[in-house]
Amino acid sequence: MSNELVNAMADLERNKVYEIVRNEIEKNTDPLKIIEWLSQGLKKIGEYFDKKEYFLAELITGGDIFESIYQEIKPILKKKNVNAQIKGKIVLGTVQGDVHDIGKNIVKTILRVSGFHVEDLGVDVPPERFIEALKQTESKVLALSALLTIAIDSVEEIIKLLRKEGLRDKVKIIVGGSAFSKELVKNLDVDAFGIDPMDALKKCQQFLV
Amino acid sequence: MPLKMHENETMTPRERVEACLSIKEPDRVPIVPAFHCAQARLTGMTVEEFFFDIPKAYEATKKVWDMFGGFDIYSGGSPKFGYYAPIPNSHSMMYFDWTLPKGNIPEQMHEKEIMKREDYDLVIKKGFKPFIKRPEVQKDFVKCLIETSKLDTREWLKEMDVMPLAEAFIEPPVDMISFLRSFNKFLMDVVEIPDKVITACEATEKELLRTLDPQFKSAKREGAMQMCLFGFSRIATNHISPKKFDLFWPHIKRISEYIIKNGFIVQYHIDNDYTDVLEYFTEFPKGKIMFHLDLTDIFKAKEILGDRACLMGNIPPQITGRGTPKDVEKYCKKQIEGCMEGGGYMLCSACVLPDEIPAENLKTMKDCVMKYGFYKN
Repeated sequence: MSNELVNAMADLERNKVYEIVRNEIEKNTDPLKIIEWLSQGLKKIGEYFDKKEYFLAELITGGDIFESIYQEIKPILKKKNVNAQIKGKIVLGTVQGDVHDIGKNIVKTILRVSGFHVEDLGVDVPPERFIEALKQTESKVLALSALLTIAIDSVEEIIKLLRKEGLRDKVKIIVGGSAFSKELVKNLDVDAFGIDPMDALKKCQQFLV
Repeated sequence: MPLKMHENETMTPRERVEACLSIKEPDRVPIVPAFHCAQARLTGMTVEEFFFDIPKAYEATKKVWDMFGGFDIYSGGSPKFGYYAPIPNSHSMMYFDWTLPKGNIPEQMHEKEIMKREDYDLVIKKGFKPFIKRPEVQKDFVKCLIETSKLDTREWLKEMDVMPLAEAFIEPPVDMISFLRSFNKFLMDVVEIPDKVITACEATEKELLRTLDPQFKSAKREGAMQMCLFGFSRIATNHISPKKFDLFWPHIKRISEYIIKNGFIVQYHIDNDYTDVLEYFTEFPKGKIMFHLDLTDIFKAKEILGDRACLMGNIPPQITGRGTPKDVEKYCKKQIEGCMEGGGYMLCSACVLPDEIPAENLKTMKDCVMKYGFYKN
């Protein structure tokens, strides 16, 4: 294991991470190994976040560093006909009536860099679109984001539609965003509430891995 | 005739609020509904109608006032002209992309990276002027001012001896920068180039403080509440560590001191969670600051700052907008009983009331101060 890369990633030393990765690519190191080392670094970031040594800012920075390296490595993976292992598929979006996407995008990055395929439907997504995406991608997890409490009406519509389509028991629903609270989700037919991006990741891992 | 909402009251709303601001026990806990556009749905209008029609919004606010028998602080009317304000702040359409209300869907910002990382030097040199996108909104702002000046708000409030929520407003450079950069980019800047961020904040302080001077001048009239709303949301400790907040504290402190020096009370409207950095605010003397809290733990705030700062808040929108009256009463009772001792507490929403608040929930909030909020003196 390249401890230097793992530690540089965990310490959020962007330029050092880029330098080490470029050196490894030049040495023809297996790109999947590079991703594995970066994932180890990301795992440490998650641990620091849980211990309140790192905060949201550090989490976002780590995710961004990983994502930018992954975009560089993707062509190499494609050329070598190698696929990074997908741990599971998730459909994600901000519900109808709400255009806020900051939290959604943070969670998307964390899920993607952790090995999940995320189908991001964007913002102000009508309920039917979520159902369509679930059917098309055969995803088992639906992640709904909302900042406005008024948008919770849309969450209830989605749940109704899932039941109508016979999909409710085939899909796990996780919600997140400022519209929700632990008390409020008790009254919603959802399976989880992600209180922060790492919590959302853990819950999706529990559903899928 | 001063507004009286209960037979046991011995103070006018102004006297009650002033006692709270001085950390003295009033006759009862004040009730402060921080309205956004809730008056629209409560009176059968759409949010869109309320937002765009200033006189109609004022009439709706007065109607709500009558429906509920009044409140201890006035916050109301259309929030429209905040979006046309020609001063650097996150709500200004002069700088940012906002979708204005449609039907009952409220206004929302389309946040994106307007300022690049390489633009920090431009901000340090030239401030926020290079980022003005829509200078023409100043004309709309003037129209709003003219329309608002035709209303009889001041006379109506004077008659009831009720004060408005604030007479002046400022958002610090750090928040302005965070919105120009967009949230994620800003947080990465705080991690990777904090010194640059701080330098840009310091370089633009004067530009923002200058926007206060005409507001202070206008507020220095007889009977006006000497309160200045100082709003920030991005350097909360659910976003950045207390260590990083420490870097921004001198910046926040300088702006606060300017407000206080000009004879105003700083009303911190601090959305998100600042529980872990409340100690910083103990640097200010008693009665010069107050807090409108959102996610910050109000009980912790009472413990740390209760001897020097009035606290207002912070019933969450999930309770007021989506809970039952029983849920509202339970939450409000716990907060009133936990925070009222010694004065310096006002029952209010976390940030603003949700637009969809049912009438019975707003009534329950007010009933709670009448039921649980009287002092035994």
